[in-house]
Amino acid sequence: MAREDFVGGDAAQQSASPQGQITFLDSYQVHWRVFERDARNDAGTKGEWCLIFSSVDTLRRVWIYPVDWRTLSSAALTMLSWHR
Amino acid sequence: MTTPRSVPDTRDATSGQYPLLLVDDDSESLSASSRMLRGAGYSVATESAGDRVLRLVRTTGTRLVISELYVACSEGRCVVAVLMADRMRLPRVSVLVHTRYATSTDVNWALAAGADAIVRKGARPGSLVIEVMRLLEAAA
Repeated sequence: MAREDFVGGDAAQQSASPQGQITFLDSYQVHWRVFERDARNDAGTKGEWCLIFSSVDTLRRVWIYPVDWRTLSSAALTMLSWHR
Repeated sequence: MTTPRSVPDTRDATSGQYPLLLVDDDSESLSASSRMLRGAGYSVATESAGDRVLRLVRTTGTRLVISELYVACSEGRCVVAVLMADRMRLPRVSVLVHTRYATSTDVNWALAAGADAIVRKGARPGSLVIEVMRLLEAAA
C-alpha cells in the first residue's frame, strides 16, 4: 500500500482552499499533492495564501505562484515547487 | 525527487561565517544530520539551545536554519515560530523544519510557525540535502 503524503487528510482538508487540490508525479515518480493554504495567521506571512507541495516525506511552501496553477503541466509544477 | 542542480558550496568566504545553522535537542540526530550535510559539501554550525539559536541568527549571517520543531527558547515554545515572527528584522533567513513529529497537527503547527519547508526525519536519502539546496538557491 502506498504511504500517505506528508500532510495527512485532515490537515489538507483544513488548509485547502475551496477550489480544491491537484496531484502530479514528477520526473522521479514522486507523487505530490498541491493545495493552497490560508496563511493570514502564519508567522512571518508573505501573503494571504501560499501554495503547499506535499510528498511522502517533504513539504514545500511557495509564496509566489500563478492564478492558473491548477492547469500547469507536471514539469511546470515541479519547477514552481523549486521556488519560494 | 527533483534535483536539477549541483550542490553549491555555501561557505561565506567574506565573513567566514556559517550560513547554515542546524538545530536539534537530540544530540544523535544533530550529529547524523550534520554529517549528512557536511558530506554533501555544506559548512554547518550546530546548536541545541533555543536561546543561543536566537542570538546566533540575529547576530550572524545565517541564511538557513534547519531545526527540529519543538526546540524551546525563553521567548516561546518553538524557536522556529519566534524566528519567523521576527521576519521583518530577518528577511533573508529561511527555516526548514527537519522533524520526527509528523502528525497533521505537527505539520499544521510548523506551517503556522512559518516554516518554509518540512522534511520528515527518516526520509529517503537526499531529501534533506535537496531541500537545503532548494531554499538556498531560491533565496539567492
